Amino acid sequence: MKTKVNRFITALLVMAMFFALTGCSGTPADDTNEPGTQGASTGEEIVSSKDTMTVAIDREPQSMDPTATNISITCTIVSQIFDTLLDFDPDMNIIPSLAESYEQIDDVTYKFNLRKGVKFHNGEELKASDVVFSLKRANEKPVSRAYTQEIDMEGFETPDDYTVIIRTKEPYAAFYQSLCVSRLSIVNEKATLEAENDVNSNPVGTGPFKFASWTAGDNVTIERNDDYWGETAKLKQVVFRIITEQSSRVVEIESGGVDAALVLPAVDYERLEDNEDIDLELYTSHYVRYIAFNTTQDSLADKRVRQALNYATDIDTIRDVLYTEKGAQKATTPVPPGIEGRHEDLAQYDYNPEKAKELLKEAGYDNDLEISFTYLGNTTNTLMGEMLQEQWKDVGVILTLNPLESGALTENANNMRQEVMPVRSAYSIGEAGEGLMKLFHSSNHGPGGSRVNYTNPRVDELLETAKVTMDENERNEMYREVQEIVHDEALMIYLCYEYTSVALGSKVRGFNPIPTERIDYSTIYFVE
Amino acid sequence: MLKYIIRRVLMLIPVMLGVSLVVFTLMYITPGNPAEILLGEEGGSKEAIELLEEEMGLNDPYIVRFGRFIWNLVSKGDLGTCYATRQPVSQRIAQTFPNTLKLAGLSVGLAVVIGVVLGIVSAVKQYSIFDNVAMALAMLGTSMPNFWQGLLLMILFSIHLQWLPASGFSSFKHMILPAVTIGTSSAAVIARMTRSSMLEVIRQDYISTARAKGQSEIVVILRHALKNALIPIITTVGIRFGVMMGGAVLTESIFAIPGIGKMMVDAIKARNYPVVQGGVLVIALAFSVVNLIVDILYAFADPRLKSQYR
Amino acid sequence: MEQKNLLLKIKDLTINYNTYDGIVKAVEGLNLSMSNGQTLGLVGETGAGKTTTVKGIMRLLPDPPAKIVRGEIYFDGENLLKKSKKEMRSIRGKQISMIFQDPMTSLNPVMTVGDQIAETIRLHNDISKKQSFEEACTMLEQVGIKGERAGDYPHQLSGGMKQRVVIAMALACNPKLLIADEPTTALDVTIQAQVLEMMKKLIAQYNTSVIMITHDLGIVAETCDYIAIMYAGEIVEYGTKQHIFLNAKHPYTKGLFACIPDITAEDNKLTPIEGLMPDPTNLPKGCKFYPRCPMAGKECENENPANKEIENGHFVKCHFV
Repeated sequence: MKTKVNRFITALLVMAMFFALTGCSGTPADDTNEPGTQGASTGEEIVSSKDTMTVAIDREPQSMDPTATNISITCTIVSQIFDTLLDFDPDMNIIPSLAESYEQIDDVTYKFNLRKGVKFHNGEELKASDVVFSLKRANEKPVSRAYTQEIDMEGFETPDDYTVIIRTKEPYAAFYQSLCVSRLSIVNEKATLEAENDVNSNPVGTGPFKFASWTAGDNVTIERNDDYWGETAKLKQVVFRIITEQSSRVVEIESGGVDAALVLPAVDYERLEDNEDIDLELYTSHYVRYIAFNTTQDSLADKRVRQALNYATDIDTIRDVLYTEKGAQKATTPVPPGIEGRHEDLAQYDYNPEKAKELLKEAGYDNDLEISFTYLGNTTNTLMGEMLQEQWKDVGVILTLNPLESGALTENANNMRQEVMPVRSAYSIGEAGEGLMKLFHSSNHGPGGSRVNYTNPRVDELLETAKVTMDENERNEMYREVQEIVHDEALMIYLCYEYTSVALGSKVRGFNPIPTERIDYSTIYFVE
Repeated sequence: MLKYIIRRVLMLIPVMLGVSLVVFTLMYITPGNPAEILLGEEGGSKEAIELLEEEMGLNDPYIVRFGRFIWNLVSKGDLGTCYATRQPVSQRIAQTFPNTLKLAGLSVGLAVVIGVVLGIVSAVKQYSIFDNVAMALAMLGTSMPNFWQGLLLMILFSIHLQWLPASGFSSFKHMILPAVTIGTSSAAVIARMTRSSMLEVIRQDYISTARAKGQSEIVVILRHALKNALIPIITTVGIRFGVMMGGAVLTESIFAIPGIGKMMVDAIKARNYPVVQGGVLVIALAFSVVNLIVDILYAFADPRLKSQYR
Repeated sequence: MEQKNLLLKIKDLTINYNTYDGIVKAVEGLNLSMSNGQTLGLVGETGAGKTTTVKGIMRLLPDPPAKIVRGEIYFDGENLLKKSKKEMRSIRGKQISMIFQDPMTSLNPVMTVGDQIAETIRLHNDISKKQSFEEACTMLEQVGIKGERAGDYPHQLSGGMKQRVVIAMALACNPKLLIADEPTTALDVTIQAQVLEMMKKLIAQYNTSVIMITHDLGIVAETCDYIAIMYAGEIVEYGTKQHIFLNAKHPYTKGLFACIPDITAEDNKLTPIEGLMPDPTNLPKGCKFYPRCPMAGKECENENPANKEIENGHFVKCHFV
């Protein structure tokens, strides 16, 4: 009897502790404050003497070598250390950077006048030869060569130390944009030749920040370059802390352990917005998420089946569940908003299971279509798969889930073995042609990165012509036609244009993100 | 004893070779291509992949690659170069392993103190309220996922109380939360093991003998009972510590600790073969050393076992 | 019984075990006394309450579940049940020491035997560690083990040697009372004899009083002056060795003797006592032996018989004497 009482008391105690612990986590939502008053500045803010910023980033950078970067956080860090010839402003306009001025001489020839007196971090002055060296080097590196393909490697000319003439192999409409990507950063020839294998521990650029240290798995630290050619950075030091766990990044920004946190879970947006110590910045970036149909697979080669699956999908519900209303925008075409040549009014495949059934019947399927959904096995994707499974069951399509780990997934997709697959594609130079080419040109099947593996001579022709068409209007017309074709072909289900999220401490000012997901840290400062 | 230790150390050589072979082969037959992965989700061109494969030496046959790995290891002590950061693997391990070791030492130390004390008191006061509460907590400790517990601790101590930093591993303050997170679950296991082991010992006649001598209860428990109950406790602690040598992946992730566990998981995902091979070797070696230490401790804990160590 | 020489007097001792199945009445209303220099044999079947009684004297019963419900235990004129834990500790090992049944398990396997003996000595004498160890060696010599084996662990000794160590440990502080709980049961017969012989010698040498628990009447005959027969938590017959062996009155005592094989008798058959010990949670109301007693009558069922002194110092708890 006595022991029974003891056990009861024990259970009570344990439960009390449990609630005491979990109860704590519920409180922050209670202190609601009026929306609208947030972030309203008094107009007379005093600049703080705090000059070290800690940023929680979501993964380990790949490299400090600009030619080896293709994920946004690595590009962001590298672009603080290095400069490119030209750059984007926050509105995606092309602005001069290391090239003070530039002009197009003929269809394929461009002349760049370099800024004088620009010093690399090792004290060397920027010369035209560094530019040529950098572009040639980028052409030999696996990741960056995608951006140098159009450049004629034999066509460089350096009339003097501050002038570079670059030729493209054929007319290339997006040439200026391509020079803005961090892969084509200008490196110091001497330093790079001396320490080719050591670029990671000693990257030498001209950027507003100098590389300080990189502790794998922990942080990358950069320091202000006091001899910067432009406006010197306001921060003395930026520490990028690698915190792969998204909930940990949220906790860090909430606890004030970091001044900024990147890539946050959409479910936390509301709570972060309610927190007056935090400013949550959500901005469009040049990404599109979609569910790709691999057209080389038998069942999915039929346009009617692809259209039927579009009709069978209640994409609005899926988007709201996966990314929340705050976290993403409805997608209507593969080209994200803010990019020239985007088709603004395509008639969407609205949710219509009846029509889907009709189309499937027409295509010869009678409740017997089996398709597999191949995806990177994480919670978001699994949920997506399960929702699709439910929705498609209503039209008689059996969807099997095939979660894979990243390595296996890439191999699978590069060999075009998948059927249906969720994909995120980036428009890394903010130009429609570059993205559409990758997605729909027949030369980019498999390893090229296309997951629809679509072949249509008309699309190929349009894309190739657009690429060499210098007239903007003509070009955009062609891009719109491509979008019409691929939309009619229903090669994918548009999922969303996801917002990029950054949570900043409320004392952070001067945050000007660029839609390519890059952030310029040199303009950031703190106020009291 | 010394001879025994030398023999055990020598036995590590074939073990390490075997481990290398197994890991190498497993990585070889696992689908996924490091070059493709390095080029990212969006893929690269065929020639870009080929270029990288050449650079990584992936085009050579299995035997050549394994031979090269072993030869470099034996002749130069070189574990290869990390595909991702281009650092020597040994350097990456040197950066991560000490963190893992610190975390393991701290958490297991904490677990031993809490676990053994709780276990002893529970055993001595069997069926008391203390015993029931302690064992219920132990149950909670073992069943509560580290991941969740870590987040709760972070929310409580970093956001609400603002006493401790939420993540990172640069100072002792940073180590407290992760050590507690891992420590509690280990403490729970150790407490249960200590309790059952002590209960068994306390019923032995020699405990009554010690009491009949007029010895005080605390000395009876600590000198007579605990020392006899030590073997299973050492085993449990050893296993816990040994497992920790492989890192605590989830805890390392949520507390953003650059430990070997997270390094390994990332490396496996990226098919970063040199890091995986080097890492497994080091983990296996550390595990073997922990085992050896445990075996040696047995001899000190129980003289009956000493004669077996020849 | 000579009052002035009284060493131990137990009055109305009642000990219960509180278990899930109910209250076990292990010892009930037990009265016993013994004088200095006596050797008392406590005889009875397993479960009769012998060990509980002596552990009660030592106050070594685990509580819970054991509970001394009532009674008094006077040792040297002082009530042990009123002593504090600390006072009790100074009595244990020094004034009263105990030898447990099984020498295999009563030595701590992870301490050297020398240390274990020295521990007792050091607890009750203010001497250095080294001195106590030397004394431990002397004690070992006393029980017939070479002093140099003091550094051995129990597993390095034979069973007989272990029991000698246990005895050395018990006698190390020259206690007034030695309680030996079946000290030789676990040993084989030849060793038994040696150990008993040695014990007898030492008891005489140190002039120690002894309570010898056993169910072996042979050992009792050899070593004891007085004998108490226990049955189901009570002493049913008490007297000198002569009283019990030559003039046993209680039917249970008689039954015990009938169980000893007599090689001189023509009929070699043993006469066991019918039935089993009663369930300790549900003891008979009257005489505890009633269900098995061949002589049982009406009154036995309902009335617990009184202790009758049938001759000088010979007590029997039976209605029919």
